[in-house]
Amino acid sequence: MPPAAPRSGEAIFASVERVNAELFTLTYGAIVRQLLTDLEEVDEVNKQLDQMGYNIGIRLIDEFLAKSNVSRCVDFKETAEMIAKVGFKMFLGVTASVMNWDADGTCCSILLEDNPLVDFVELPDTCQGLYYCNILSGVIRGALEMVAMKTEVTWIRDMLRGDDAYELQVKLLKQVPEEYPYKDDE
Amino acid sequence: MIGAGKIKQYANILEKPLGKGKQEVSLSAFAFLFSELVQYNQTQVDNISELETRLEDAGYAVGARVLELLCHREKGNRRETRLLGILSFVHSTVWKVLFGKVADSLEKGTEHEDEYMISEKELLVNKFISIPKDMGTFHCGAFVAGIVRGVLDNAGFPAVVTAHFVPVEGQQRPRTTILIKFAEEVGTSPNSLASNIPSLTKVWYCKEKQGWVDYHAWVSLEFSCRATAGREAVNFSWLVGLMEISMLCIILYSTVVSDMFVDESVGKSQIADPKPFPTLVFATAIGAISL
Repeated sequence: MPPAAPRSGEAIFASVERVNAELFTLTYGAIVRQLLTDLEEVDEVNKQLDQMGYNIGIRLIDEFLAKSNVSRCVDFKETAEMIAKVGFKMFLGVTASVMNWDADGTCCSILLEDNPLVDFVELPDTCQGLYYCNILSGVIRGALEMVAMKTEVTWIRDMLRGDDAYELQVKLLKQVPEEYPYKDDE
Repeated sequence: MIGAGKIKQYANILEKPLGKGKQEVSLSAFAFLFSELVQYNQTQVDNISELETRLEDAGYAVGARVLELLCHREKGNRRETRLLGILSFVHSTVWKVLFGKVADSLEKGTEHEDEYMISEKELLVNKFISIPKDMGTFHCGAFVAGIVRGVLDNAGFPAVVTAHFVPVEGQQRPRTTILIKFAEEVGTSPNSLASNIPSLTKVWYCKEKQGWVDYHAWVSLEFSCRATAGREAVNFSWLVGLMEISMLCIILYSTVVSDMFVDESVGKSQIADPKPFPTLVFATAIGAISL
């Protein structure tokens, strides 16, 4: 049976069940607030958000692969396009674009036009070092690790910190070949 | 790039338009986020009731904000002041906006007068959650109970809200009931007023001194009146005012006016002993008027 054609982000988003983005935004705000109260150090909160994102990402990738019917990506460029066009659309309902490729093709920027996590949010003076949306960088890192790519994801521009857009830098560190759980000679 | 516009920058977050609230994210994104919330809290607590408390506190913050948002957007800045009004607000408007449908039912408790129940077949937050046997009565709906508590508390109806599983015959999965038990200062009748209605004198002050401000915004200045019914609060403050005036009159009379009743023909020896009877009559009259 030939594999089904890959579906576009819009089509998948229209077919999944959806919830009000404000519930999502307010729940995320409650999480960040709890973390700030418990951990108090902004760097610790950044790390914890990244870790939470990683835990989400390693499970999110299964759903992504199941719903989107994509075949194996040929190179990192295609991977980044998939994340931006299909991934962000089907989970968050927002469009993202990829730009600023470096010469090797291992580092790119994903630009978010719209970010449902940051509605109603303003960073107070005491939390200026906080990467509020750091959970997204963890999600991408976790998802890519499960498909054999070790990456580093950082925020370049963050509107809550005064920049004019949301820009994530995704850098491919290395491709990790899949290891089989049993050895041949045993 | 043609077509890729820059996101508009606002100097102040308050200037940014609120949006219609129609934007959506996928259910799985929310489910993942909620599962991380629960998992993180599990690492921070030792027992189930603490876990439920933490989830409730997270929900409380959401509820407070949801109330402000929906009052402004859906109800044109009018807030509910009656018990039944706020309950149907929670049951229909809040549920519709947050979960996409109105709650299944709203019932008044039969055993206690101050208990109400909102029932739902399956809470949205519980859709992908299964509770292990060793966690007993733990309910992730504590988050939703916190949302309800946040809405009610900030609307002036303090309550204790909990979530319970109620087994239903013939169905494998139990129903969820959000139990709302109102605090004593809220009356038990469906017409009870919110506990943060401002008194008439304070409304007058605000209007005259500060100009006619938006009622909803003004109430959030947190003028609170502890009486259960707004009308009683009005009478009480007028009463206090009158009693103060009458006390002032009594003092004034006994120092200044009583001189007039001293018998001038008697002489100086009598000045030290002013007639007590007129003073008593005057004070009683003032007291009677103020009551």
